[in-house]
Amino acid sequence: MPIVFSEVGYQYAQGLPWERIALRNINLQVEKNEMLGIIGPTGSGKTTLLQLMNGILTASQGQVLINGANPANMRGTEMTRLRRQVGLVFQSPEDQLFENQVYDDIAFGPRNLGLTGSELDNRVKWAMEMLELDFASLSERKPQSLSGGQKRRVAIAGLLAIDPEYLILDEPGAGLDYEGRLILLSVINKLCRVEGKGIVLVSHRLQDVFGTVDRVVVLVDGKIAMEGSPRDILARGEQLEELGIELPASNQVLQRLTDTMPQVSLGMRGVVEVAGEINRCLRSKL
Amino acid sequence: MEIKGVSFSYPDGNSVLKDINLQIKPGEFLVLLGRNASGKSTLTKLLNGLLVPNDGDVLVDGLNTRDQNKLLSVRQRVGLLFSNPDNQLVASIVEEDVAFGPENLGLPSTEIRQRVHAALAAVDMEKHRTDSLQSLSGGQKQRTAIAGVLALRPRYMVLDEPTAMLDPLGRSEVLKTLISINQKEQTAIILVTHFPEEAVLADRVVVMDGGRIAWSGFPQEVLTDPVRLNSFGLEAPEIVLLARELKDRGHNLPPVLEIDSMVKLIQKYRDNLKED
Repeated sequence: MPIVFSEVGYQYAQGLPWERIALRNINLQVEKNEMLGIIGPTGSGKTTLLQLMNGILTASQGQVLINGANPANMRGTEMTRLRRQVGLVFQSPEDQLFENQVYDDIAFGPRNLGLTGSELDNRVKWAMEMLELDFASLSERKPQSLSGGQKRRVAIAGLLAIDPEYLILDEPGAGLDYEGRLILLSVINKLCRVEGKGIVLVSHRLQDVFGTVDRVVVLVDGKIAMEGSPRDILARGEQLEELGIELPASNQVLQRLTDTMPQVSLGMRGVVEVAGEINRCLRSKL
Repeated sequence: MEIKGVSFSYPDGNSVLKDINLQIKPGEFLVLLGRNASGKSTLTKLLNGLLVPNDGDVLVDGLNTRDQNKLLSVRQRVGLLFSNPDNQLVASIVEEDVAFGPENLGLPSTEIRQRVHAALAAVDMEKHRTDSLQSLSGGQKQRTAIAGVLALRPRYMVLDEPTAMLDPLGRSEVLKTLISINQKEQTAIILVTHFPEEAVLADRVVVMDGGRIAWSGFPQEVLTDPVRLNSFGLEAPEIVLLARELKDRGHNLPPVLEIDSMVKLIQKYRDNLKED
């Protein structure tokens, strides 16, 4: 069952003099087995949109249906069940690690679901394996003693251990180094392609978004300004730039080449494809 | 600034820096690159005496950071800034925050006013002088934090991943600000970053790995060597990767670091092909 937004609006401080419109008229659907990327400048409403997806916020206008149910009508236990279906990974989730051992931190969620013994063990092992964290060497370590990238993956493993249907990730790669980001992206990819999770990925690193997701939503001033496959959106680079969003460097090169090489196709995803397209044009002396 | 044979371990015995030797000239723009846990952040904390080396010395304009009596002068010369602007802003209004440092130096109020004005101008935040800090974007907050350091008129400014938490627009704002401060005020900039493309305009790039200086050179040499960068856990700027992909396809273009130059090179290359 998908997450469906119908004509959703959201205002902070609704009805007060300092009311601020964060989202307007959002129509959007997220399916399981799908990776959706959300990009947009700071303040465009990305975080608000994510918080509407698991009931932390409820819509001011329109409705959000998560697996057919509306969080606006939910009470305590129903809401808890919803949060198990839709896991939200905040920015810098490692700030929320609190146990003394990696194992206990990841086990916290499933323990609350009533898992014990070998069932709990297996769940923690599975989550660690998915996040490429070695159980034997890491499960008894203090989270604080791990590298930044490992800490972040422990935090995500804690959420995955609840086995949600959707994982929503807000800037999961921010502040990580190159290797940390690469591992994380491959993990996210695996969670969708192998485990069938629905993934929503928000990131300022457009290379990461365009290279990973199936579909991109561009959010500007609380509205959906563009929507399409990564190639569709990259092919409309000028429109993106008008919206204040900078294309990845190799796509900028391609865009600029169209001045003198009008036959260049723009919808290229990543450096390798861009190089292939430039090569094609050079070879055929276009 | 002279770092001479510096080694450092944290109290848990974890050795973080091993025999670092580095000189930073006044007015230099130096970028420190390195994967997580390579020792970059620890090194920045040694530069203004926040940490003191176990072995070796850090000298700032001849002042040893070990010398408790000189620590205040060291800190006036070396301004330090971290990733999260929210952790380093103390007031609620932009100009009050920038005035905080100079006020603590006990300067006369006309001098404080002048410094705040100049610092805000340098980071292009004059029009937000009386704004509430809450209302600012991440990039604007970080620029305010930079102005706060600048108002102390340091000779060296050390920034530990100041763009890590910002969006691309905020990142380019902060980077432009640093370059302009470096050029106009002659303040030395020591910038720690995960983003090699931020090193394009530096005078020198230093790569750290395993607590040692692994590589040092001009941006043009360091950033155009994707294989060696990879071996230190770093990724070359996308433009360099594009040039490598083109080379693999038989188009040998000289290495460049900027989009403009890349576009011009390809256009020229294509014109030559057409003439053949």
